[in-house]
Amino acid sequence: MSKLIRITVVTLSIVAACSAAVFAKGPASGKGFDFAKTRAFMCEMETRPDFPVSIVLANDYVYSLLALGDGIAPARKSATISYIKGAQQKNGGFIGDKADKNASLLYTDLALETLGYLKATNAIDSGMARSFVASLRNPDGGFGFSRVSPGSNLASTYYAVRTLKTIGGLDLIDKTKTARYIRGFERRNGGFGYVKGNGVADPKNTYMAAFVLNTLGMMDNATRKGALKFLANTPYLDTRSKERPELDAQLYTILALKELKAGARIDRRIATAFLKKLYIPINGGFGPLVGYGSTPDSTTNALRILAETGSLGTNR
Amino acid sequence: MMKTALRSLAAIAATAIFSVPSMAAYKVIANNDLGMHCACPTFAGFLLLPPYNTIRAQVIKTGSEDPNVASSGVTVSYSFAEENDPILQADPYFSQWVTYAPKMFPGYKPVVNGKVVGLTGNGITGTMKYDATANAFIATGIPAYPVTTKTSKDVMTDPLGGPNRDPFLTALISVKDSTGKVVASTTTVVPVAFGGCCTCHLKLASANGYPATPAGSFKYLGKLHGQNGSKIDFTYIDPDGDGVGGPIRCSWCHWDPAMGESAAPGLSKVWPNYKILSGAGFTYSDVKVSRYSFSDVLHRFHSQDQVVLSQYDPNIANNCYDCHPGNNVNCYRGAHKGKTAIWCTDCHGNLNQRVAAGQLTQPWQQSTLPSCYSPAAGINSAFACHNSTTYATTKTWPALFGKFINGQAHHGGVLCQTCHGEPHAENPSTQALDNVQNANIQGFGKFPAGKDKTYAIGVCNVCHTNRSNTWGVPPHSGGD
Repeated sequence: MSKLIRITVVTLSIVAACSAAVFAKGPASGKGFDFAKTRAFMCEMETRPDFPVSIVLANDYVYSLLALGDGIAPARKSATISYIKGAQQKNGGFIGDKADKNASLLYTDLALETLGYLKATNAIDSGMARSFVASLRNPDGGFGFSRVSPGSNLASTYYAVRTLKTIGGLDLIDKTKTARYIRGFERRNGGFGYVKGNGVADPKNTYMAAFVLNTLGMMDNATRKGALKFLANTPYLDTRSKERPELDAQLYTILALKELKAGARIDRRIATAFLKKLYIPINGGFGPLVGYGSTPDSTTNALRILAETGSLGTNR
Repeated sequence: MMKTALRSLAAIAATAIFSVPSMAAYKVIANNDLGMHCACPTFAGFLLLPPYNTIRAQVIKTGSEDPNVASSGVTVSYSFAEENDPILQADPYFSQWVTYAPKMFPGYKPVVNGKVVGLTGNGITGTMKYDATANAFIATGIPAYPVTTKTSKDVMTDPLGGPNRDPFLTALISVKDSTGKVVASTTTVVPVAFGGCCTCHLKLASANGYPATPAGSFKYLGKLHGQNGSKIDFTYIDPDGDGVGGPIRCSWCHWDPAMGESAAPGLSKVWPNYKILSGAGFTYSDVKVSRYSFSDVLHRFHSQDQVVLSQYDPNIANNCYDCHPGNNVNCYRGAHKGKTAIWCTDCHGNLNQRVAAGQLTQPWQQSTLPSCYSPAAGINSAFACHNSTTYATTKTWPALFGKFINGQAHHGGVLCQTCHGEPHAENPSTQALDNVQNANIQGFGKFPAGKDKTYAIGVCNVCHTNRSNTWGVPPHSGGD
């Protein structure tokens, strides 16, 4: 009987999650979380003369406010777009903040993602951004991080593919080579790690690999099954796992499941219970690990989890 | 269980006794020098920071309208409510310090006659020495260490998975006159916590095929270090010739003022007969003193490395708590944090700014630290600082952390921190424990709207007999 109830609850949760869009359309509400406080916490940076401070914090701010259904005030939107435009370098890439010296694919991807939320991708020079990405393409099929760190890695290749998907330019990629490069990070257990060879797999790299393979149309059934098998043993799907759960890994597990066309396997109950342990009632933020304080970054990722699982309690 | 309960009760009782404001003609106000010190949870591989804490106490002889800061005629001693020698020596993490510290600091004995002794010779209880420059009694290098009390004070999570610990120890400061009579006492917070290093580095080790343990992390970090320009995989360095690599003190080669050194000594000066284990990819001639400070290599690497940024934290330039104690411990918790949205980076700069401004080449120096009047050199704070005319200080103290809050001001002899509290935990602090001392000292006063006993000391007759007992902002320039 209890099993039947559990199945019903899980099914209903999955239905709710699958019917969710990314952003809320009204003020968010949720059991156990005070989203008014969360909003105030995220808006703390508004009071700073150097708002929005950095590309990452701009991304945090924009995503969070939109996810909470509050919208962005025109002046803040304008300041954010202006800041991001100013972060684009002559080589077309973006820096993380004004004191950062080297444009990288990481901040280029985050800048474009943020502009995408604001429907302002055309505010920057996309052609130059495309050239920057192309300049970091390597013969092994991967992409480098920056001109200073030109060697390929999985994360940089993911940022490159995402950026080119956003601004157009996937034709710059040799799909076969890039897919082969990405598959080199696959582990025996089906997951992906961030270095080739030994080392454990993790949800973040598994998600990034799945995204690249999917976007390039190079995902195959064996890779998909392997990745799902790996994810099934993580603490985000298996309550018996002894691994210490982490906020980011929880988020990437959800994103990976969606990328692997297995959104129905997302365990919303585990995710919500975990987020309750990370919630800091005093300021409405969320920490990255149990026992840790809240930051704008971790709070934003918590909101991403709630949005992705349809748990923001809004008219979505 | 019974022992723990008794210990907790003893700590509470001791705090209560020491918290009673003294009625004698002396007042003592004590503070930690920094607001939060870090210490490592493991010492078998390498040492970032040792157990090393410092308390400063000013003893004020009252009884007239013109009190003075005592420099002699009294003995100032310290002990801790939560920690003593048996507790420290039974601690499994601190035991590692006892085992490995002599290899990192040859000649140093961490336990003498059954008592724990810190790097400067001070123990977990002891007597403070008068320092004429600071005009205060000081005990440096106290080997205070986060402790498990099994009470609600155990707020700090252990990155190695052990029980939570209390990072906010209570120092009991006692002043005796020449007859041995206690004439004043107070309590102050002595903060010491684990940083965030292990949280990422154990994962980093396992992601690269090494065990997710401190030993695995040591091996992998050695490999990484071997891939930089130095070629030195430090796990192949056997300092004492016992056939085992490590332990390593980073400051042998990378200058680190936190070790009390003005230059890196170089490994061969510390261990003239050190060995390089077979299989190493470097030779004795490669082992040199680095031109980079430890602070520089540590901060610059983390802010610029693509793996750190893409796998761990793209916002590490602003997320100081990734490394500095953020595991349920707030290093930065003082009045600045409580009143406004001032961030660490407003005073110190974010990592990219700090690198660009060259701060890290001269870490922990007055030239690169912020002051009450301005952020660190080369940093543009988003907020205005205090006015240097209104709040002038007569001189600054040329010591670590000196410029920020320890410049001498009121009457030319009272340290800023004596009234305002510890750097990073200035009164009123967002953490109640930090406010206990001031609340006890000036709790009898009257306070204008918006102020209370947890603020910086401003009730005149705390020190000046027959003066007002209403809180106000005292004169700050030295001649007043």
